Order: sequence, then C-alpha cells, then structure tokens
Amino acid sequence: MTEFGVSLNMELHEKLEILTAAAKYDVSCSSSGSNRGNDGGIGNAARSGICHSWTSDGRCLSLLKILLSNKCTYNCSYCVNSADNDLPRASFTPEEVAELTVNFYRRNYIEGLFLSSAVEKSPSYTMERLYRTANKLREEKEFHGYIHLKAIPGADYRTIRKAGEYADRMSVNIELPSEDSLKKLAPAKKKSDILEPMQRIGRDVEQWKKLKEDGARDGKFVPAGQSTQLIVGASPEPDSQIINLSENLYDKFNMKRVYYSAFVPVRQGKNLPGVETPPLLREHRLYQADWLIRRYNFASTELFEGGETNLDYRLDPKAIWALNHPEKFPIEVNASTYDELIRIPGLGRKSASRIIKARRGGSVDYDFLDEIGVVLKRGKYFLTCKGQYRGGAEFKPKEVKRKLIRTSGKKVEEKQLSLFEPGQFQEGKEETDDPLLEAVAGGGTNS
Amino acid sequence: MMVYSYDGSFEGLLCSFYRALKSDESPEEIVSRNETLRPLASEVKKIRTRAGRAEDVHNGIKEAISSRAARNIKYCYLSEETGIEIKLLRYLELGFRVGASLDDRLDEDPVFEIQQLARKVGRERHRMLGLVRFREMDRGGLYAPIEPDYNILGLLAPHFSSRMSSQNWIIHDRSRDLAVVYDRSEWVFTNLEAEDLPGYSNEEEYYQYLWRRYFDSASVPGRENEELQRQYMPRRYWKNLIEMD
Repeated sequence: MTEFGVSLNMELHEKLEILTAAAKYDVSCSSSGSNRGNDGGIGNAARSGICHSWTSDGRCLSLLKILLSNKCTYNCSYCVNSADNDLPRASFTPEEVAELTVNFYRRNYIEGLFLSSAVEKSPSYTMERLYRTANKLREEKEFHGYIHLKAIPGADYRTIRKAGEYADRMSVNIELPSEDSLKKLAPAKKKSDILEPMQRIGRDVEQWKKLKEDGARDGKFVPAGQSTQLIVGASPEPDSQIINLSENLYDKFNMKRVYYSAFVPVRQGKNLPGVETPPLLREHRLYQADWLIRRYNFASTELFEGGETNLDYRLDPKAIWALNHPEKFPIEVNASTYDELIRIPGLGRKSASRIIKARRGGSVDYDFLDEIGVVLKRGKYFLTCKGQYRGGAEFKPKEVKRKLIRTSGKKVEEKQLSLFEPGQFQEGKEETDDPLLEAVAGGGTNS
Repeated sequence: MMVYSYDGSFEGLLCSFYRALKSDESPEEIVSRNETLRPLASEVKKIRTRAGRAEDVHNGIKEAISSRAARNIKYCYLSEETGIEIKLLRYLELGFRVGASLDDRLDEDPVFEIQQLARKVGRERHRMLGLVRFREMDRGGLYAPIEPDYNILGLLAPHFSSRMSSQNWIIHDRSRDLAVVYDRSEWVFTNLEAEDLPGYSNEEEYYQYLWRRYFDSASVPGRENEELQRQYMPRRYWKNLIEMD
C-alpha cells in the first residue's frame, strides 16, 4: 500500500474517475453464480451475489466496474470512447487495478472486479493486459473474490483462454444485433471476431464442467458462465430478430445472460438514428421477453404470433400472449399444472409453487391466496378460484386489455427507472414475475 | 396463568421450549428476565439454562421437523420482537405434530407469521453482508460499526470469517454494545464500547476518498431515482456507510 506516493495518489483518483465514467454504460453488474473458496489470501465468491451499495439512479453496485484503458483505436459511432471523440483519456497499470481491487474488497465496498477495456494499440495487446491484471490479482495478491473480464474480439484466443482460468465470468459484447449494422456502426469489428471467441468460451466452459463432473479438482474455467450485451435502438433490427438471436445464444453458445442496453445518444455520429431519449420502455419489454424465454418456458415464436415483428410495448409480453389466447383462459387455480399457472399474467414462479403446495391441503379460495401472499392485481382477469371469477362479469380479452393498459401506463413510467440487477438481492425479496427486476441502466459502450 | 421467565439467551429459550413440551403447564407467556413481567402473572416459573439440553432440543427440531424450522426459530429469536417466544412455542408444538411438512402449513397459525418474520431477519442479514464497511485501523486490523434493526451480528460472522480469513477484524453492533472479534482463526462475541478503539491507518482516509469518487462517478446521469436508492438502502443505515455519510 505504501507504493502510492502523494503525487501518484493524485493521478490515481483522476484515472479512477475517468475510467469509471467510461465503463458505466456497460450494464452488467452481476456477481452471482460462482463459488470460490480460499485457503489463505483474501476473498471468496458468494453464489447468490451481494449488492454493496446503490447509486443515486437506484442501481445495485456490486463490482468495481472500470476500464483498464479508454484510449481506443476504434471509431464505433455509438460508443462514448470512440477514438475521434474528444474526452480525457487514461490507462491504469495492472498493479494499480490490483491494489484498488484488494483495498476496496478488504473494506467490503465491493464483491469483486469487472474489468473491461477500450482497444488500446491492438486487441491482443489489450487482452494481454487484462490477463496480466487477473494474473496479478489471483497469484500475487491471492485474491479469491469475483472477477468478470471482457474478452476482446479479435484477440489471440490463447490469451482469452488463460484469462478464463482466472475469471469467474467472461463476456464478449455483440453490441449490434446484425452483421449489417456492425459494418455501418463499428467498421473495425467483424462478426466472426465476436462470435468465434464466444463459441470457444462456451465450448471450454462445457468441457470444464464435464471434467469437474468426472472428478477433476484443479483449475476452473469461467465458472459463472459468459454473458453478452446488445444495444437496442442504435440500429434498425426489430424485437423478433433480437429475441430470436438471444434464444439462439442461450441454446447454442451456452450463454448465461444477455443484457439489453437502450441506446443513449452519447455523441453525434454518422449512421446513427436521430433519437433524443434512450428507448427505455423497449429495453424493459425486451428484458421481460428474455425472462419468459429463460425462466418461463416460452419459445421466442410464441411472443411474435400473427406476423408481428415488434412487441406491443403497452403491456408486458406475457399479458399480450395471454390475451391472444382466450381459449386458454381463465385458468382454474385448483385444477391446473405448475406450467399453466406460471403462464398467468401477474403470477410468478414463487406464487405458482406456493399455490401448488397449499393445494395439497385441499382446494384454495381467494382469502387463502391472499393469506399466503399471492397478489392477484393482474392475475384476477385470467383465473378462477373455486369457479369464481373476479375480473368482472366474464373474461373478455378486449376489455381486459383496455383495463390493463389503463392501469399499467402509470406503473411503467414509475418503474422504468427502477432498475437493478437480478440475483443480487433475492433472499426475501418479494417475488414478482416482472423481470424489470432485471433491467439496468444502459447506453453505448466500450469494446 | 403460567409465565416462563428465561435468561434471554437462545439456549435459555430452547430450554423453555423443552420444559413446556415435557410438562403439562402450557405457559401463556415466555419472557426474558430483562423484560418487566405483566402484573397479572400469577405463577412465574424461572427456567434454568443448560447448554447440553438446548443442543438436544435444537437437534431434535432439525431431526423431527426440518433444518428450515430450526433456522426460522433462530431468526425469529434474533428479531427480539416482544411476545415472539410464545408464538415460537406454538409453531414448535405444531411442528412436532406434523413433522417435515410444517412450513407448508401456511393456513395454520402462526406458520406464515413466523416465516415472514424470519424472512425479514434474513433479508437484513443479506443486506448487511453488503453494507458492512470496514475501516483499516492503525495496526492493520479492520473495524466496522453497524446498527442493524435485528440482532444479526452472529449471522454475519461466519460469512466474514471465511471471506476475510487472513485478516484481523471486528464488527461492532453499536446499538447493542456487542462485537464479534476475529483473530485469523476464530470469532468470538464480546462486549465493546466505542471508546476502546484505536485510530485509523494512514491509507484509510485516502481509500475512503477513492471510494466516494468511484461511487459518485458510477451513477448514470439522466436516470436519477433516489427514492429507489432509499428503498434498497434505507436512510437509517447511512451513517455507517462511507459513501452516504
């Protein structure tokens, strides 16, 4: 700790400010899903993830999220760190990042490090520096807390592979949902440079898991899996294409999470749409759709029936789906399976399990649902309880839709900014089927 | 009416349960000796605490009911809520009748209430795992003051003793004058008053400064939502947080 002289200190806090501001548009802050112990040294990774603070925009702060450098050689028009953008530039040394991380961690400010970087000099040079930072932390500082590293598209895979042996999570950001848009907005990035490391990381994670199952005890490879980020609204792809892409990433690349980031016009750029405010509502609906695919057994095609290519932003996609299927509703809660229950709008997985459990003691009525904490504000339109329907005289999709839109308008506005990471604070958190609990702030980003 | 009086410890409470379950006294209240008794109490039975017996009861709960039930009882005890003891006894009596399905019996009192309270305590524990802020003291050890709603100090200690096993640290519940002290091998409870503390190390102020700068830079302008911030991180916790102080 003593290697920081007074003059160096000045520099360090300035760097910290610049390289924090440059990293904050990357939306992921999750620290969950890993499990790392220690045998000496400092730190471990908690499987459930822990929030350490909340910023004034209401987001959970869990990791020290910084760039190693913002001295970018690329000119991606959506990104704040683009080479031709006039803003202060800085680079940390691996030692500086390692010391900051350990000292923040010891004081319990953070759960770990999320290190990304602009492409300084070349992708391989940048990846090597990311690797060296992780190496220093794990080997020299004996740090066993959470590390999320960016894999830099176009870097030598051998370096990415070595870095993955130290990281809990890795991510390669796709950013733009089609090759066409990449060409227009990020001419230095190639689709294959992004997809190839993603595919290889996915394969190596699988392989490591297999080895572990077979009893191998040494070594880890990205135990919390990989994630990626898509920018929404900087390019013309419709929601169906985005959600279909995500579905494929989950299925084929063993992706743990896809983050969506409403495009924030951080600068004027050629080929960019003339947006004034980030499309937050669209971002929110995409998170809900993503959630339905990952947790509620929906197929992406079910969300875009009848030739629609965009979601109906007025209501959450589950409600829209239900209203398109009047033949399935209302559902009698005393005579339905778990899979049917979770498809009732407004009802989450926890409520569904509570109902299933409670039913073992005989059929349940409305008072009882209330007692066990099942909220039916929206669900009441889609279910009956002991044959009784409380959504009005009878189930009329058009009328229900009108009512829901009327009540949800204000709610969406209020909640749009209520964005935090899921999985960070779930113990005891009142359940909801609203993946808003997922959403996060966003914008154009680095790498 | 019969009232049990115990020494306020968790072990003492378990011994009260033991007595109630083994006798036919069916007490109407179980109160800690720190609390004043209601004048109506006609018969007060003073319960003796025996560590071995408490352990038997605890294991008995885990075996005959579930470890979840054992945890619910512990967490509710730590809530320090007035009158919780007798509700816990009712919960336990039901548990010994129905066994492992106890926590599915949400329609039978006081199962849901117990679960809700235990959840609140668990929630504060989880929140505090993140909100504990250590300060480096001049001899290199770490010190964190906290003022939680519930008596969760003992629930934090295992987390930090595995995470920070190579460090010396103290977590101090200032509202209860109680501390956990860890010396790189084990943690113990001790009574502690604020005056006993050494000063901060040379680097401490600098890292606090860096943390505040980091915290301020990490917020995304145009998306301010301080109400939500307060919802997750209520104001009552702020005074021990470096970044909100």
